[in-house]
Amino acid sequence: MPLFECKHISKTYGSVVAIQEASFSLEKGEIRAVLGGNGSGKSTLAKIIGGAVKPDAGELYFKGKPFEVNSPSQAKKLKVIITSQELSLLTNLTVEENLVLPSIPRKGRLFIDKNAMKAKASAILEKIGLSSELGVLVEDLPANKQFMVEFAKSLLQEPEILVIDEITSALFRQEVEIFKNIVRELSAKGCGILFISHRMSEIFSICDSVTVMRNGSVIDTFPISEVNEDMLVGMLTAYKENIGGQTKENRAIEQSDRVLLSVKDMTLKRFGTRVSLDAKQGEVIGIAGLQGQGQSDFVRTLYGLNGHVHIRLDDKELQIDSVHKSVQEGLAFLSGDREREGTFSVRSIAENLEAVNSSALSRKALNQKRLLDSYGVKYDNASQQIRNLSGGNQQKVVIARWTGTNPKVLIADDPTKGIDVQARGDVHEIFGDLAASGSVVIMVSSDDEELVHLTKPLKNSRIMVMYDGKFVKTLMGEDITVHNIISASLPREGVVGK
Amino acid sequence: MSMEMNIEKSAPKPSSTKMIRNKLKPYIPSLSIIVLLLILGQILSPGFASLGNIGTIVSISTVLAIAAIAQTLIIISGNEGIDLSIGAVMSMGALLGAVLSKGMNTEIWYTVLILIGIGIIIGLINGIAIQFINIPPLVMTLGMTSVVNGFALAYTKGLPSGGAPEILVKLGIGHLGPIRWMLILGIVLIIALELVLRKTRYGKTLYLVGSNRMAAIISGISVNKTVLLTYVIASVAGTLGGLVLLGYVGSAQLEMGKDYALLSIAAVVIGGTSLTGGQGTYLGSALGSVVLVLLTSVLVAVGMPPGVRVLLQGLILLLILLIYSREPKLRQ
Repeated sequence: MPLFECKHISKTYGSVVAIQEASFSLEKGEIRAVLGGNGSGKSTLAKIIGGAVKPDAGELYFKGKPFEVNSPSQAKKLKVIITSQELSLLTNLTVEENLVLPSIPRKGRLFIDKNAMKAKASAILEKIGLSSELGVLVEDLPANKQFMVEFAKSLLQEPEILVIDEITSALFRQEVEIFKNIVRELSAKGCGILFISHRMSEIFSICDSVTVMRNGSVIDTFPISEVNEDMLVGMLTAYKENIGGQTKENRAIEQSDRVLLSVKDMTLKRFGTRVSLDAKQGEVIGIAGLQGQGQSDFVRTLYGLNGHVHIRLDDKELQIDSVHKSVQEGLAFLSGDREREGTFSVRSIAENLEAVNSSALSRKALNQKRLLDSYGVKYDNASQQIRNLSGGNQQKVVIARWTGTNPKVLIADDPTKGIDVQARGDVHEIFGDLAASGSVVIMVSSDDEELVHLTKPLKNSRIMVMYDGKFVKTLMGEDITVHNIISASLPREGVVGK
Repeated sequence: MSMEMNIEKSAPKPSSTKMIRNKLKPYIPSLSIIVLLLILGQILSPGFASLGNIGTIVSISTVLAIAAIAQTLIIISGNEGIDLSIGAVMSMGALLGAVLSKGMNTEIWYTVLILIGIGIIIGLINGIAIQFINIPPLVMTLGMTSVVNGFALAYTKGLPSGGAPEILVKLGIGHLGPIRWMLILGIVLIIALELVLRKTRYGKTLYLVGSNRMAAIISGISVNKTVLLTYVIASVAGTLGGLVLLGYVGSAQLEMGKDYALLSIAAVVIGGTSLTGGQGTYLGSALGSVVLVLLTSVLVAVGMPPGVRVLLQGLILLLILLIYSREPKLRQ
């Protein structure tokens, strides 16, 4: 009898299928890797097992009995524990307070037993090599140590199943070693472990078996000894490349060698890395990678949202010290988070259109009707509130706000998030036209397929893949395939720690 | 009321009729309440709707509507913007106006300039603390209330000297022909503020900044500049409003404008400005001011003892605010 079993579980969010008919089982003491790209469904799977998300269909069994939990706390009672990169720590409490939070030792009924708390915490802290941090507030710890505390917290709950979601990516090398030893120890005690990671070297050094996921489906599960890195990457990316066939020839302007935008050694604060980019006139650059590898950091820093930057634009050296300055110099930024960063929801379509042109740049009014019609925006009249439009139409208005000002560089951060396929195609077309008119378009997307779709039909285009705050690969022409993007997104040379 | 109906009837195209109706719609509740209160006042206390009494009501409403300039702009600017210091700033404006002008017409321009200067300083301090040091507007302007009151007390040593220059008194209670100067002032302010909000770059930007600060920043709008300017305009409206108050009352007293802080917030809410920012009109706030002043007048006219009156006034105010802050949700 397997320790844990999933049978045909499915989960959809609206029209997006996160998991489809996924089945697998985990034995006692087994260390199982779950491997998959962006949107493969691995994190949803983790949340379902942890009780945070309820599947729409399918059955779960734990020790042979149906596993029906409605909340993470119920899952915890059954000793099914999740530890993830979304930290569950309270940063204004000390390390030991956080560790014992799930069950606080008490004196009488009312008072916290501080000695018992310290004793309980210090044993585990010693094990994870953080004895010196007893009594320190979590907010004063560096990120890597916070992750170790998060991990320790899950250990204290004596898991029978432990789901580890991408926690190792923030750890240093020696911490990863400690981590591996503890995982092996847990497995020896009979705990089943699901290790969700994209780090091949870790998967191969501690896991017994690996489950490969793609597009919400479980592809297969293999003993680790029967696979190698190339086979795994091959399975992740076994993909029908049915897009980009309809290449539009001569879509872009004549090959231009003039560098329009140039950044040198720009620091990404969160990663402590430096990145450079030269973008030629008329070029469309897709930025790819696993989620959170610095793609957003890169474009936001470039736009001046993270403080002072130095760029070279249109043969001028510029010190960008505010977004206002970026906009004045011809940069434009389109966010996928429309609600928070795009629309002025209670204001009219007309006002939304003019936000950059007249409010930020004090230019003469745009020809609104022409702009809206050319993008096929469906609306009654321009004085109605923008929130009455569909998501796709809202985003087109926000795009028109920028294109109406003829920006030199359009930066887009996952701009088609949550809009329908038709509108998505329209957006790509607008980007292509903008590049054809001599601008640079830089687009981040977590959807590899979309990036291929955008860049492949264009002549002057490339995709740059980021990992851990650095550009690790550039793909051009025929090399632009989903397979190559995923393959470059996964570090294969055993890049462990920092 | 009859005027709107005429417009509707004589409108040439149905679409423009609809547009006008939509534009007037937000003001219909306030206008109806104003008419109802006037009728009620006249029934309970004959002579209430006389021209003289209405003139008085309009005059006090104009003073409140000046406080509502500050409140409207700041509330539209979003980010939980609110100006609790407006009452104290007006009180100080009245006090300093009396002291600086020494009650003489000849000193009035000098007094106005100094009060504008003080208004700019107070507005900058409020704006900088809120925008750059991230102190919540409620806390900052409440603190500023004490500071301003303390300053006024220290400067005048609690004994206001001077008085209201004749020109201010004339503005406060005088007439131009049959029309009160205060009515003219009120109408000029409504037109000016509506023009500023609808036609100027500052006004258009203010609505965007209030609607979504982050989207405004990403659009390259100078959010800091807009917010600072708003707090400065608010405080200058306060100090100059103090002069108008001085003219209407005829002499200065400590904390004579303190009620206007909360009343102006109520006027703005009645006027349909959303407390979450990004929406609202000044005409609405001005009508809201009239509603509030009328309400008090009716209660006074009925001859209610002061304690009961204040209590009743408070309850009615609560009721009105309750209805008005729910209305937008009900509409959706």
